[in-house]
Amino acid sequence: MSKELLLDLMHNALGASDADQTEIVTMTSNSALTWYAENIIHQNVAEHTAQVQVRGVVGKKVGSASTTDCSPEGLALVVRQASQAARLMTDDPDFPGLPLRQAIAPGSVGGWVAATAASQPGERILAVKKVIERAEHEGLRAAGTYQVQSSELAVVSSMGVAAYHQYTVAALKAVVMGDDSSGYGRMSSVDVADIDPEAVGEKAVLTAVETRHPMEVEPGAFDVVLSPFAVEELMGMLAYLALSARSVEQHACFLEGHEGEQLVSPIVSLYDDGLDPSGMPIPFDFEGMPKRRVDFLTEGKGGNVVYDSYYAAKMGRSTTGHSLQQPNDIGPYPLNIFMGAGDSSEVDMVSHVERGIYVTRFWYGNPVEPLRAVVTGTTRDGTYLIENGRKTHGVRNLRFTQGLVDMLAHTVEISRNRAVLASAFGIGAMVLPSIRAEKFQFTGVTR
Amino acid sequence: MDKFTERVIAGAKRLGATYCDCRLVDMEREDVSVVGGAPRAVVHAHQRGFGVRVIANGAWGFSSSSVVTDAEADHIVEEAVDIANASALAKKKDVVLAPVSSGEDMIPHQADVDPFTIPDSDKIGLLAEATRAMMLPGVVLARGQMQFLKERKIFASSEGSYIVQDRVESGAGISAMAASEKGGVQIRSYPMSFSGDNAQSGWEFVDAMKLLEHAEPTAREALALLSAKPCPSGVKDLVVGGQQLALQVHESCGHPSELDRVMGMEASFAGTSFLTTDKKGSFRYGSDIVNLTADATIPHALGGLAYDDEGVKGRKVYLVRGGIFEHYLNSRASAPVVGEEPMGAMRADGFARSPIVRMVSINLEPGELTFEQLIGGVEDGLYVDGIKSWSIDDRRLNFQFGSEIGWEIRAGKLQDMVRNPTYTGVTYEFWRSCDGIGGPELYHVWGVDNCGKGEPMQVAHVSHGTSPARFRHVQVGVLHE
Repeated sequence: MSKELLLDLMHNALGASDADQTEIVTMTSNSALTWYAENIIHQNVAEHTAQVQVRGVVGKKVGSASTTDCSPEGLALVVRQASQAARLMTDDPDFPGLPLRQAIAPGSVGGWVAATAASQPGERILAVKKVIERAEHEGLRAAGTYQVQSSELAVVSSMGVAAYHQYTVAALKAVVMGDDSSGYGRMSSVDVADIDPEAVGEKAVLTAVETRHPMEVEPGAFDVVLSPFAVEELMGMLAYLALSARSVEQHACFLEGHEGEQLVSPIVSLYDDGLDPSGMPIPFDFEGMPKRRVDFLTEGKGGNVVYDSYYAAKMGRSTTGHSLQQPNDIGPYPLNIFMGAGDSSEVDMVSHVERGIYVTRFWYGNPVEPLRAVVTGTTRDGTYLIENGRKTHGVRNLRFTQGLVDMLAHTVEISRNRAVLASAFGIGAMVLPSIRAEKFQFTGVTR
Repeated sequence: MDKFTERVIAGAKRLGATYCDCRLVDMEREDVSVVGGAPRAVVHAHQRGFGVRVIANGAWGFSSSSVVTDAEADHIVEEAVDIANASALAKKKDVVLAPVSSGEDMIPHQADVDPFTIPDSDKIGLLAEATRAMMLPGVVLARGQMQFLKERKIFASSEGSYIVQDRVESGAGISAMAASEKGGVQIRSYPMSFSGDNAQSGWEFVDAMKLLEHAEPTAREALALLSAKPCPSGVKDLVVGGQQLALQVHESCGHPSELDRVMGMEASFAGTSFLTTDKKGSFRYGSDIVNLTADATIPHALGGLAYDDEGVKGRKVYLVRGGIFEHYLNSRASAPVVGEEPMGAMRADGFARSPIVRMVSINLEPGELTFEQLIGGVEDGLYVDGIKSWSIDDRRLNFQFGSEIGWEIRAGKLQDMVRNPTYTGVTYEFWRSCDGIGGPELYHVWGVDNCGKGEPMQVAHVSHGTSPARFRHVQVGVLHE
């Protein structure tokens, strides 16, 4: 659908509403995914979907409805359902009304590449074949996905909001497995031309080869070097547990009441920036509010959290443009997390460790003590023992149980290079470096 | 066959597909949530669309759309066949489907009272009253939610199947969160954590939960946890409540039994499985008393189905019998590889996604013990229940789970309550240490509506029948500092 057609359709549907205020959010997606495993392609799929989410407001009552039917009749129906739902609600005294239109940075922040939107299944097959052939050459088995997506996000409301953004995502990943080891490679970009299947395959193959015949390491506190993939899992958990106004409201945010105080290592800066073109930018949120940069930690000192219009009004702040689709139980959420680059490299970091663990990625993280951001999970796809400054041996995967703020406090080195890691949500990305941290707690070992 | 699915299948054949199936799905959902006596959200969602799966040149192709028109059908069929032809460029061998019987069938839903006929105001009213009853001093958040689903799914295939299945689901739950400086944040839920309990039933299922009666006791347990002692750490005997055991069955039996995982198809996302094909028929998964089934035929179970999304009739198989690993959850393409018959476990999330191997109802068959006998057989141990946190490695071996609540057991009696109980272990060692399972009177089939798997992510509605069970020598109270 074109920008004009979609916005016209949505504006017309506003006219069918008998609510005091109405908001319509539409996401369309043309997505294709090639899924391979055991060196064969086993699924190759495409989907063309649209989802329309409507909030109807009657006084301080808010109702919602959604549909996949983008016809004028379908939109008119869902708009009426939202206002009917609103009339069933009681007043929410904290609801400030739908937000008024705010100016969105003129021009595009980027994020859409025509070649990505136009890419064909045959191109994905050829890329995947390169990964498979590299794995086969070493007698290994490759698995992974190559996804190409072109999407639209549009928000209109009776408060004058009219926002439209079109974006693309290309993401290739590979898990390469041997009999007793595995490796991981991944690359994502808005531009399909940036995806380098040879590099993805090479990284995964090399890790799988180097970590063959893993030894068992007794759990305990270790110095660790974490790849950007490992940092991503942990920062995703931190974002969920502690970087939003909702976590402040629940007194589960380590930043609360500590603005400007030294909370973690002075080399750590963590922020959300939806406008930075080096990530996967989104100029506005699901309320059509412009994205603002939010600094969570600046050189280790406490900063702010992200807000949507609801939490902003409730807590006397301004929205930072971080609303997810409403209603939701998650609250405002940072979809474009960056960790500031350091001045090191992975090779340097490893060379500074006398005895420690290198982690390619973590898996299945879950909170153990949400209030203190203590999480557990396991390592996977390439865990090394570091001895005397060198990765010497693969080790069996380890379970960790670690406080994330403690980990940032014990971070002693950060890499110059950062990886762009597209979000599993299909929108946004994290841009993260490798880090070296001391006293990381491993609490178990797998068989 | 209706004209739409007929057009899809004829179109696929014309373009050279040797197999085609079409799923036309029309689904309505309602989610109601209430916080502290006030409605938080009432969301009505409608989804309609179709997915087309083909085999052409010996390879799979799939495409789907939310636009249900003849023109879009032609476009989607063409795209599915194009994708299959592209896939064939990299195939090593042709896809072969195990033969299944085909035919026409019409499956009604299992609800007595259509939950969509109950006024939203009644649903809100019940949750408001229950959550208000939980707002005792010290409770910082009282939540209640209900979710309902009504679906008509038409499955048509080029092999002559035309199956119409209606499905109604209902679910509800309440939870109280209490907080204090000493006790941290503590949550108790009823009847189950997260979205509560769910079933293929109507409003009668929610009605029978008696949410109001359980509201205050649930909140009192959350408050009591604030002053409970921390979970002790050590190797102890462990009695796991039925609700927590549902999670254990889900993570350590259900997922590793999925044949696509075993064959590496999930390796890049959720991982693989320790239940490799050489273990089939001989591997000691658990003790002699451990019998685990995949049973799609349990009436009202959330994971139940008459036919899966390949048109295969749902049935019961033993995944583990007498402690020995016996059978996988499979598909038409994967079952023949390990010498099995398809057992009806291919399921798709909505119309847009291609079916993958999923759980149905995965159950630990009941034993003979009473709850008192289970506890009575423990000298020094712990009883835990209420799902709070879970993590398991990518082969489904090393797990660490946290429960909402626990009690110490000493000399065969429940003693002090403990907060933040956790336990960890290795799947087969844990199940081999099982020496007691609660009887049929303690058995309940829990409905879980949030099982994630696949890329792109698909959410399945599954269920787990469990009674409490006893495990020996388990590491509890995982220390992390």
